[in-house]
Amino acid sequence: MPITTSESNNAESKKPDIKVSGSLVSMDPSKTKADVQNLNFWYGENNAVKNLTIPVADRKVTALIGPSGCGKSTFLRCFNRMHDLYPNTRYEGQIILQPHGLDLLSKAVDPLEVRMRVSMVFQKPNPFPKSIFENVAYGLRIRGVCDKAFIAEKVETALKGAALWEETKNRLQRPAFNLSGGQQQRLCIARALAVEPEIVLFDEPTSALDPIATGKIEDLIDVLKERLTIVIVTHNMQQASRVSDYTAFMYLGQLVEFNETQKMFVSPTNPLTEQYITGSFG
Amino acid sequence: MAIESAEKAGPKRYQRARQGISTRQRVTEGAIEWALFLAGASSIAITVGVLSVLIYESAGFFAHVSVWEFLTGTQWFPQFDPPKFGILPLICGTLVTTAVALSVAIPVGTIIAIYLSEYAPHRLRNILKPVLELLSAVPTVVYGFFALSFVTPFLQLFIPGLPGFNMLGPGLVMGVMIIPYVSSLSEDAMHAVPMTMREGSYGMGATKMQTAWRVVFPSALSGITAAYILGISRALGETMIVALAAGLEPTLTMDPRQPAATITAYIVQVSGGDLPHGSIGYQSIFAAGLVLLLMTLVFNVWGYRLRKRYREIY
Amino acid sequence: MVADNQSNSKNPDSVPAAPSATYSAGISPEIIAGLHRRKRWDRAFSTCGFLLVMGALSVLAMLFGQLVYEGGGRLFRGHFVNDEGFSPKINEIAGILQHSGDDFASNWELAQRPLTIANASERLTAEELTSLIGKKVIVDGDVPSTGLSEMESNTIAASDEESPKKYSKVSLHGTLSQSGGSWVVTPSPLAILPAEGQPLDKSWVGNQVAVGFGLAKSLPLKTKSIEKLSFQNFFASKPSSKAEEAGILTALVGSVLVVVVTMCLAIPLGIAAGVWLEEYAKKNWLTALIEINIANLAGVPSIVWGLMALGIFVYFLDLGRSILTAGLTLGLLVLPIVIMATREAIRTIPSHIREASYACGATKWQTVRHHVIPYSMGGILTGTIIGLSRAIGETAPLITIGALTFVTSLPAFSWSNPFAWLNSGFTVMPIQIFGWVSRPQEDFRENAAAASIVLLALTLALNTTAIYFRNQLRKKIKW
Repeated sequence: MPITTSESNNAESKKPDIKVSGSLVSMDPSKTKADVQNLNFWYGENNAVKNLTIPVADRKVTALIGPSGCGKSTFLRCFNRMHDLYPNTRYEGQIILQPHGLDLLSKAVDPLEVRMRVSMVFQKPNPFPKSIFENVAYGLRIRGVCDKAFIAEKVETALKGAALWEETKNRLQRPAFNLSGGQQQRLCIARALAVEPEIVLFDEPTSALDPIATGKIEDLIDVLKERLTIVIVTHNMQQASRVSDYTAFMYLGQLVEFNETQKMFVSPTNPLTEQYITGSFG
Repeated sequence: MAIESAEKAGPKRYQRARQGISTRQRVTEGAIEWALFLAGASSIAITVGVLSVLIYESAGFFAHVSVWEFLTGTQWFPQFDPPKFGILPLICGTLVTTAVALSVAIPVGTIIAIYLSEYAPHRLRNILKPVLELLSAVPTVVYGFFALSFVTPFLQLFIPGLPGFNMLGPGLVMGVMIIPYVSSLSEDAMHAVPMTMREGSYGMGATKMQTAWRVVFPSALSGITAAYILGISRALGETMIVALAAGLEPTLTMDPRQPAATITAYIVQVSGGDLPHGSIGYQSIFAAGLVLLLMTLVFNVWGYRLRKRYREIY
Repeated sequence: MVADNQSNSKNPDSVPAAPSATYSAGISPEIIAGLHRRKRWDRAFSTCGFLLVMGALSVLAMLFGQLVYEGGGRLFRGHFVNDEGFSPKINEIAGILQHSGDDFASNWELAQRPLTIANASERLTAEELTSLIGKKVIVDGDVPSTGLSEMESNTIAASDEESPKKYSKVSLHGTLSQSGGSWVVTPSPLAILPAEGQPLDKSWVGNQVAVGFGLAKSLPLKTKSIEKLSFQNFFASKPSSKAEEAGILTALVGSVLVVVVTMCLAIPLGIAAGVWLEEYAKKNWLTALIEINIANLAGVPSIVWGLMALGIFVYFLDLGRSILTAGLTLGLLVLPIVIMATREAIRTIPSHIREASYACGATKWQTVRHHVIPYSMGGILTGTIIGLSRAIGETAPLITIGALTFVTSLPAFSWSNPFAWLNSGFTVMPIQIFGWVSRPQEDFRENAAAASIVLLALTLALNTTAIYFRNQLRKKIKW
């Protein structure tokens, strides 16, 4: 799938003209999980995401990198329509969920349906002030599941999936706030996994954690991608290179370069990407 | 794949939920939003109710008594024949008791607020502030009894010839009741002043008192004024203290040592008796209530604006 | 400090001077004096602030002290009122008023002597008397009256039977006890009250009874009967035209019922309105109007609510002067308090919690029901308790809608019509107090003070609970 070059339609911008480099990733449509097509996003008058087109590979990790304020988190939150919660926001373009061809951004699609398929893990661990068990079970409960055995089974699976089961199996009824930061974040991952989503979005999941906790979460992502599609926003390029299969570099709301991670970090085609990766700006 | 296995297993409800949201759920959501909206909008209905009752009954009253006579008359004798309805004595009583109350509440409340915000150790402040708020939690009828049975006899020791019913005693008690309104809100406003402003002043070698009065107080002025205004509005509308301890004769006097009736006390006095529905006396309490409502409304709107403004600043 | 640095930097080798000397090194004495003056003012102001806080709190203490002084006795002392048909005659000397000390005019005391109930079994069974053991009873007694002030003590004792008029009636409060098979009342001297309502203290005895200094060493006191033997509890008795028999039962029950109605209206409506404003309302003119409107409703004087209720509930909707009317009125009055508390509480919930819930696929209502309301419940509860205490203490609007001060029957309850009590007349605590204070008889002031203690204790307890909740909450949840 070709990446279209987008002209900077922000006339007053004095920032360097961004040329999207031509490193095209041709991806077999049957291997994509979601196709982002010409996505634009506005906060009021502010065009925060400009004309983005990215294929998201199925059961792979796609990383979004770029300097602060480049719109990568904003882009990520389009996937589960988080922006619908706030007034004065507007989407344009499409995010097609494969294989059914459902447009996630369509007005006809209820954001709730989107969120049932696309889970999210936030920047700061944000467990609910409930017990560990109830946190993980929450997604099932709001879907109206009452079967206790079924919930218990799913909670166990999710906690195991988030590598948290061994630490918490004896204190499932304790408040989630008593866990450490890293454990809380894994709990949030378990919460996202419990409803068996098709895509999990990670919004800088390790930025509030220490290196050891970060390592655990990265290992986890590595395991999860065997059965899930993952999109991760990170400000840490080493992390992107460690965990992701594909990387998109964004700048000022635009996509600068998108490629397989290996290629991107070894031989970036766009000079801006190179500068960012080598740490000379950003 | 995990999803497929889930679709194989699991209760039917879960599978259905995975497909999307049911129509029933959508209807519930809509209905709940409407119900909540109605709850929010009910406040408007309440206001309309209050205003329409007051205006409707007052209209009946003003059919008999001219507005001019009502607002400028200096005699309020509803039981005379012909009755005299000049509200000035009642307004005067209301203003005098309010003034006495504020002369206590504003200075004391302000100094307490500065003490709590600038001087008191953090923990002491956290204890004292809620304890002070108990002062405004005392039922007003108890305050009225206190004014009647303690404060007035106490004042009589110092002011010879002070009648058993007077405006001074209840006014002072009302002032004590209002202190927490003034001190708490002022303290909130001062607390919101950023530390950097204080640091600027301390950096110049100012003492705490100088910083408090010259930097913090002016910066928090809109919030503090809002606190004063809330206090005024409370004092104007206070009923039981004055009804019990200030006497019930409408006299046009500015001397707080004299007994007098306030608007609120008059309403209590009349409704305590058994006035026939629709009589002019019955209607007169609504006219008096309307005047009271308008007086407090001015202060309430003003105070709301100021509070909003200081919240925006910091 | 500044001076110190300067002097050191100028002469780095010089030995640092003593602190007092360093001040004078760079700063003029006027500035030093000014500094001291400023510091003194600062300390004085701080002390003044602290004293004012304490002064304000001492008003609360004085208020409580005054109430306890006036009404504490009425509250804590049980009263035994006349039990029909029971008046066993007792003709024994209950005690002797005797003088002690040097001051003949004032030091008269009642020497207690147990008083046996001789023929009690005629009217009262042993079981009935046993049930009263340890409780206080009123004993009717006679003490020498004013007219006898010229007589000698033994003359009084001797002339008892011939001239009973010369004794004036007095009520003694005594404790009933059992000793060796018979019942005995031990009167307590403090409780003696002469019939005129004048306290029989030592000086009274001195003025009225003391006969010829030096002549009288003791005066006999004769009791006629134990008249009042039915325990009368202030909390459990209904209003009465006799001050000492009146209680606050109906007022207490009325207050509870009215507050129940109040809360049934204010809590659901207040929470719903608060949730709508914080979670659902879009920013438009209607929302702005509702917001300013609620802020204004909070400032409407309570008596105006009473006028509204009189016009709408009593006459327009014809609900009468009932518990329902009172409850609805107070419900509307505390509604803004509940709404504001709800909003404040909801505002403290960070948005990432909501986002987490939505990200799990929850609907708006699910998010509100599972997260927003439960996590703000503590704050809502605090506000509700404060509203509750306001409703309990509110008087003016209920006077306006015509609460009665003299209600002697409790609202009837029957299973066939479980809500019939809503339509019955009522009185509440503050109204009862108001009614008693307004009475001309002095005796009722004691009742008013006693009821005030109850009401004050109730409201302060509620407020303290609210403060406690608020503090616990702050400790518990840190987002």
